[in-house]
Amino acid sequence: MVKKWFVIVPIILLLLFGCIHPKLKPYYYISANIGEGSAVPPKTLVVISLKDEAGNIVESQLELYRDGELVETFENGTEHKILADEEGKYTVKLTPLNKTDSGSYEFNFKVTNLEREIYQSGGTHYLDVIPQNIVSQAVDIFIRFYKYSSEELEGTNETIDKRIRLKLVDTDGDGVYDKWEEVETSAEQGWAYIPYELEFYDTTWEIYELWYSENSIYLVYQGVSGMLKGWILWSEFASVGFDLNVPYARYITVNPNDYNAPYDYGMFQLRERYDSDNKPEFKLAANETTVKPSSEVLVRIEAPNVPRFADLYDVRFMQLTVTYDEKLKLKDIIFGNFMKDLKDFYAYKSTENGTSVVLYRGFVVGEDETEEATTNFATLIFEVSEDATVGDTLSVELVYEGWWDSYGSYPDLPNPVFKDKENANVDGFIVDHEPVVIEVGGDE
Amino acid sequence: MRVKITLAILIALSMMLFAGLIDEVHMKSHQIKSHIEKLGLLWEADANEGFFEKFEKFDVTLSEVMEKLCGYRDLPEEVKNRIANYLKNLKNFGQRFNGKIQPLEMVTTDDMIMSSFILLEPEDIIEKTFYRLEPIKDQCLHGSCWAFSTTAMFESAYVIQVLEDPEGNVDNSVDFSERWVAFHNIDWDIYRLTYYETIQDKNSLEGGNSYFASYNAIRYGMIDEECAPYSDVYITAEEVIPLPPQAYGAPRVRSNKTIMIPDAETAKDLGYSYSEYINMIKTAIKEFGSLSVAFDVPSDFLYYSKGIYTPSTDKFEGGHAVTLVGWVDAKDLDDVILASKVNPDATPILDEEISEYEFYDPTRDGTYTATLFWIIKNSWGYEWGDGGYYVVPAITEDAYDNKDVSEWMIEYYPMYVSVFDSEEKHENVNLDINGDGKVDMKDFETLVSKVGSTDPEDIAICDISYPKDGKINSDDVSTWIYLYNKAKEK
Repeated sequence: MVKKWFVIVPIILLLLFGCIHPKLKPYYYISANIGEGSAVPPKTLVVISLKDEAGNIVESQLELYRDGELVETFENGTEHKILADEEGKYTVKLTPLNKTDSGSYEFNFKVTNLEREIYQSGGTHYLDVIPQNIVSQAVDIFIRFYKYSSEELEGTNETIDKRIRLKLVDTDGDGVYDKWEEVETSAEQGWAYIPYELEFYDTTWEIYELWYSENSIYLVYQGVSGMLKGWILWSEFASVGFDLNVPYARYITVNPNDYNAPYDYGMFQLRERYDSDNKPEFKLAANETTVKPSSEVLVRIEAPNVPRFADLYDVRFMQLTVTYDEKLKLKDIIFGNFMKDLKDFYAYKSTENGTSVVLYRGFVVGEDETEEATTNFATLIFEVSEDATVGDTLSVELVYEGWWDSYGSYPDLPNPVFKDKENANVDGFIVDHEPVVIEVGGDE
Repeated sequence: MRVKITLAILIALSMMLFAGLIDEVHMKSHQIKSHIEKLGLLWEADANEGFFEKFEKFDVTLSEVMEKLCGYRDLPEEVKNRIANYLKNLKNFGQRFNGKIQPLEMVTTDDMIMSSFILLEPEDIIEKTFYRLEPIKDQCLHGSCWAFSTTAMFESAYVIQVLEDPEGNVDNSVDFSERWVAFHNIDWDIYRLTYYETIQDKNSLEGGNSYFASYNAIRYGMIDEECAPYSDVYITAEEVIPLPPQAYGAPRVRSNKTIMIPDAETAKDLGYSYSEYINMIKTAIKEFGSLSVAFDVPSDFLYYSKGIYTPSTDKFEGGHAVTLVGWVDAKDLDDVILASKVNPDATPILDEEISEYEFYDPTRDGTYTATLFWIIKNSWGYEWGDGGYYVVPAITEDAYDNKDVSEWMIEYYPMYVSVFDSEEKHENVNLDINGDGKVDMKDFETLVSKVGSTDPEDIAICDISYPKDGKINSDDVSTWIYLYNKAKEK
């Protein structure tokens, strides 16, 4: 009986190992111009191919996934070229055409705007120093702006750059421009006027630079004589500004009617990891604007674009603090599924006197919740105190401690904290600290 | 006689007008030597000719050299107050949290920066003398001292915490790029115009602060020196130097947070005793690495060559960031040799043993007696000072208690060292906070419920951050998530 096993076992082992011996199956590996798991800036050309044991490129089929969705398939190629132009987490699946191997090989990388911004100076503000050939004229200045965009030429695969003429408009006549208008080429674009010199506070001020941001344009003057010589003065020029990551130009002249007059044409761009329309932002919203005493009111922390941004930068921990009126009593906080493909952990801690609460969310490896992920970070359920009287305004807000001195009281460090999978700080999130104000109304 | 005097003055004036840089420093150092002698100070002044010679090619005056080299920019008072208040909240954790609500449209990077700083629990350090002579670099004619100081600190911290070599970076085993750090300087004009709220990058070697640079080490990381070598910068006096091609896509090493040691005055306000404050500095150096520190530069500082530096003048020239690499007890000053790497015949800091050092400080018009001294690494090359190093007295107990800190002392400003967190730093941590035998969300909830607790039993279980700070706060909560994920990924 024992002898029989001596024969059977080696045969089984031979069959088993013979079947899975690597020599019997072609061995391939992925070769790419970037490293596995690396992060690259948008518009990076990724060149990827499958190679055999001898280092020869073999034909393969490529499937390209972005954030888990199949976005492109390349048939029967040897050296695949992928233009990774959009932010996201990419997975490349390469399948050899060799029919003896049914497996595929995976390669991961991600595209983030941080990889672009890290090699750039600048940000959401831009200082436009007026050139010397203009200010040396010591006369008032005229300015106009242009916006650049790219668009596809219809019926072709060509992209053309377009310059849009912009006009600043003061709709309410308060002296501050408050609206952009796009002007047809045939129409008059007009000029906005900048005084060269101002007299304020017993000081003569001369224009020095323009300060651009998303929501404003300021004129920056420096004191050249008088009481505040050497100081800086800025005055609001426009309550509208410039979109992020969009190129703009400005044309300055000292005399719009004389083409020979000194002028300057310059381009600029406000920069960030996100565009103006996809900011990862936390903000509050209430389900009611008017409530009665002893009634319930829900305040949501909405977080549009946050989950995607957080996923891109591997955020695993978020902490926000909410402070609220003493006539509101926090009854509960509801947390839903926030981050896709990760399990959500959450908890909160409030102060004993009941005017602030710190919300903690962790995103962990594990089975994701069955419900669909949403951009609702949390919903706070408050009960309006019976002591609230008609006309009371109850405010709720996301905390930002500017000065850390002596006004509030919190159960933990109150400012927002975001940490990634390496337990390191992540920035770039925006928290709108504008309070939600709920009014107490009476019976109708 | 009057003619002779006038002639002598004219000759002296013309010498000063037409003297080259080296002549000028010789003249100055001579004057300083006599000041030192008069005050009976324990340091030697020298023209540091080898150091100054390299600036001759830039055709600059001595004052221009001073201005360039002292590129540390102090934080605005408002920001310093904010930081002090933030630290107050950290220090007094578990008690009442205070703060003013400042509604702003956006979270700026400034509060993100603050959330990356932690305080350190001082240990009782017994070593009388402890130092690491890490490599001396050369910032050349640029105001990039802050980038050198931050990089040296980061290198030291990386070797000690990640490579786990307690000797630090003495063998230059890691070399990160100062140019990369300087490329991510901040736009000081924007910072000022936005009331010190908006921080955005500006490529500029001139004038910076480790407060921002140590935060950039977390969010951007550091790249190797060879990917953005400073040697390219050496040939130019330009302020804006683009990154070389090899910097693009270069691997980056990131830290996780930064230990901030408050300036002496703030530390005193926070309730730290003198020995706690000194031990906090010593603990940071010993356990985490050399510290990025700063001071205001007295006008005679450039001429230091050996001994214990204390100013012989009350005139200041600007700010400078350097690296604190260790400390020496007064009795050991005659045993410690700083310049041996470049000079086999180098002699100790002092020739004879002393038990204490009494000195007059003209910037405070006071006399102090020191028994503890800091060894500081400068970034002006090996040819400056005592093999690139210098030694200053640590703040005395009386001065600390009376908040009598002169600007030339490194205790006048905060100190920084990067922290590298990793799973290995939490080997004895048990994530089963509620002790039910399972690690799940209930433990997370229990940990959050313990935030702010001062119960020693709770602290023993829940203070899981690296380094431990004797408190339960958000750092522990985020660390729990970090460790949970690491365990699950295995």
